[in-house]
Amino acid sequence: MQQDNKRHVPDWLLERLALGELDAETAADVRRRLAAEGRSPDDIAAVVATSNREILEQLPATPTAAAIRQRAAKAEAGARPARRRTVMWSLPFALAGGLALTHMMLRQHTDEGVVSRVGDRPEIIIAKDNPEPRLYVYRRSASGSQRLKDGATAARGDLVQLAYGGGGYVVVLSIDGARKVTLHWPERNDGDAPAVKAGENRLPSAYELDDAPAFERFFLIHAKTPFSVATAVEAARALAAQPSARNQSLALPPGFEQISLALEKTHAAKKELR
Amino acid sequence: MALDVESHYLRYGPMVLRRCRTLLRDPAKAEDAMQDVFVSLIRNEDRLRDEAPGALLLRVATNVCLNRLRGERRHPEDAHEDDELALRIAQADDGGGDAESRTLARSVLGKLFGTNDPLAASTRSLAFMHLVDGLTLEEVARESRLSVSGVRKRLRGLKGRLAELEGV
Repeated sequence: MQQDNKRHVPDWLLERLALGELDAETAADVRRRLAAEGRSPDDIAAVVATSNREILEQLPATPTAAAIRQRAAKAEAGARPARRRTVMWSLPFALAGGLALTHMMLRQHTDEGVVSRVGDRPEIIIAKDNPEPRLYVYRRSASGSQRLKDGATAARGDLVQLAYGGGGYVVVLSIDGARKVTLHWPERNDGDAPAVKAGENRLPSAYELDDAPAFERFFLIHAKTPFSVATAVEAARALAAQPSARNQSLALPPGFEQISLALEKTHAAKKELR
Repeated sequence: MALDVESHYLRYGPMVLRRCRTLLRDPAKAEDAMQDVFVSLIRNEDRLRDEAPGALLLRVATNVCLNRLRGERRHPEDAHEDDELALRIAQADDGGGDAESRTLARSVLGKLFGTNDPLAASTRSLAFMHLVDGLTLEEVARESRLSVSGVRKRLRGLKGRLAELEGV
């Protein structure tokens, strides 16, 4: 085989060597070229192993695989013929009663766990039936509480008070720019979502933002019937592993509704507010 | 049997991500592309019976990333010599001209080179493997399951396109 010894062994071949997938002849040739460069196959293997470990710590297998499966399912669904025909057949009826069509399309989206959006910000109100699920995020400071809107800026050390309202059953959790999922309500992951009491329900304790980069995105996950908290947490883990976690919706089974509110993280740490 | 995504990700995910990072030079875009590579694998898992997953995934990653680079222009201050070449390669089989002629050119190239197959080595990815990765033509051929003459022929066609772009 003709080789150009002035060139480094390509990373492509080093990756394949580290995997042990090169045929014996090619592997021997790569080792010979590495030796000519003064490099050791063992050193290469160690570098690859370290990088693998770091990447798998950063992007753990279980949530990443879940995110990939979810993306594949969406791609598969997207490849199927669209439901456009259903909507088009509905059009004459809708002209007779526009509100009915609006309601039907809204239900169609919520049945699929798809989130309606207001503008391009994911501050979401889906529920058609009263009482509507609501999520409130307040920033506590020495001078009182400030209600935050989707897209507000926040920094490490900010003390955030969460509150929710509506009916049915809810879970409140957040994902952040470090791909971490935090369950805020209820406090345990191993049971069912609690029923919502009437009025605005403030969580028992405030939440201090850590140094996770980019964003902190809070979710209220709501259903009319009891559901496992783990279902919501699993969906959040899958989303947190996605590069588009800042804007994408949670992939939830039919019957769920979700509201999200994201805070943009700034680098400046706020003074402790205790 | 459904593909075991988690075990494949554990074994190959870091390699795919490194490949995507090398091509895209953007961590978020690289992660996104990496997931798309595995989605391609799920949708074409029967290919895994025919060849080693490592080479297949590296090829798919190259295709996915070059597709994303196509049409993308980085700021000059971010530019890297290999980036420039990658961009030129990525754009090389666009055909130039208006949208209609580009579509036609892509269609012809697709028929000639099988670029409609997401797992096949596109001409662009062959060029990248040879010109940027530094694989010899023999290595490109072996890693792509093509003949050396086939690789040479495809690259000759692409070289013509690159020359045309140079002349613009």
